[in-house]
Amino acid sequence: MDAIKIMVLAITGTMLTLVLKEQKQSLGMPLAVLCALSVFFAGLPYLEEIVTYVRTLHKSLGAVGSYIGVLLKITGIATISGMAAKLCADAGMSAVSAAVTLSGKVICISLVLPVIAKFLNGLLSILP
Amino acid sequence: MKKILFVLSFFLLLYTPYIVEAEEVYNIIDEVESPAGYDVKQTAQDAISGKLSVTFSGIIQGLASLFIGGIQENLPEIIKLTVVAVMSGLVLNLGIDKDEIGVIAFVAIVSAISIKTFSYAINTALETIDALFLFISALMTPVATAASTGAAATGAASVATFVSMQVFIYICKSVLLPLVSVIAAFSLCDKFGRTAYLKGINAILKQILKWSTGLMITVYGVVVGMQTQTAASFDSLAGKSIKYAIGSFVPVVGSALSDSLETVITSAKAVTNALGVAGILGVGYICAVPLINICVISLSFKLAAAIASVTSEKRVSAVISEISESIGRVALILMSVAVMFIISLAMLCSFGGR
Repeated sequence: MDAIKIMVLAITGTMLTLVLKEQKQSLGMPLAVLCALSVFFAGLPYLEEIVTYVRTLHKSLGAVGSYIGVLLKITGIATISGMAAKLCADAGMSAVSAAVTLSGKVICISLVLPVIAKFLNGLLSILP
Repeated sequence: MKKILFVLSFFLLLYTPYIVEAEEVYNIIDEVESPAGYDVKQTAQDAISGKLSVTFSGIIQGLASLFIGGIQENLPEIIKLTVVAVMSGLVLNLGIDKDEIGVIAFVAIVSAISIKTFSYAINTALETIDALFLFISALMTPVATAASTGAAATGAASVATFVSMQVFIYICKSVLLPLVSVIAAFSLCDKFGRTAYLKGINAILKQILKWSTGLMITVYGVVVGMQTQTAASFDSLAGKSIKYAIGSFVPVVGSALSDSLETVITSAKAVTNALGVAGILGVGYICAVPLINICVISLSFKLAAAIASVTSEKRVSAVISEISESIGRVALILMSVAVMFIISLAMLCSFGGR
């Protein structure tokens, strides 16, 4: 049922934005952003459920579970930065969109680095 | 009466060295050092007295229990790995695009977990090879002493077999196992990118490993086989000539002396065979647990890769599959070393073709 609500919200928002863009272009973009954020936040409780489930796994997985937190963060950052970049691109701000994508990637790499360092240490330990 | 006593004491003095030597041959068993949990002396004594019972069903039962124990021991790690791999597919699909950094992170995590297990397999293999070598070194001297009783060429061939064994082990430890590690490292690094740039070089390395392992076993088998067969033929001929010479040319006691010599040689043969059987069982005892454990890990990784390939990112399941293959290669090398030790012992035992 929630899925239908979200779809209706998204389609209505899109229609309104398209109509408003023709009448008053300056209000079109903020409405598009509002619509995107509303849809995103409408789906957020379900994401929370996933995160809670993964956290329970995190506990039972022991040392391996510590990596799962990193992965969730990376996924979250990638999702948010991707959405922001797409909104910026829709607004015609391709430079800002690229900057958002880049900063998202940089943050993700900084989170992945400890994991890669651990892998490299393991690799060095097996090499002659 | 004095004359009779003199003749009797002359015979006694003449036989004494052979009686003592026959006793000493049996005492060789007591000199063997046993690894923890396995009594070589008892096994050898049981083999001599015919009490040793090795049944096919008993071996299969033992191996099955080891296999099941190995699975139970490794199950938590494998479940973790499978969960992470399956999650990679689920979590990556949460992203707007399948972001490359997310895939790299998953590949790094699965590689970091897998590499620990691979490192454990390599260390286990190295420790087992060392334990086997120590065991065989301790056993080789008594077996060679028993085998070379009254056989000069056999003694020389035993030393040559021991040297060949050392060379084989050195190559296994310093070339083959590191090569397996390099192959595993290349395979893992290759999975970080979308394109497999190291595929070609890895294929060459795998081929080199395959050929060199096969070549090593073949060359070792040929060298040891040639040495033992030549020594056995030479000693058989020399032994028969000595027995004939003693029996024919030594007056009065020649025939008795020849029979005593035969007794000593037969005793030595019995001891050699008993020690050989105990040694082969010992090799099985030392390497069965680690070998089955490594095989179980490899099999479990294969299973994890198969399960993960359904939902996870392809590169993540490929990492698990590659590690499974690398662990399988470690098991193969360990098996080659064990087979080589068994061949050496069997060859040493077959020396007595006299």
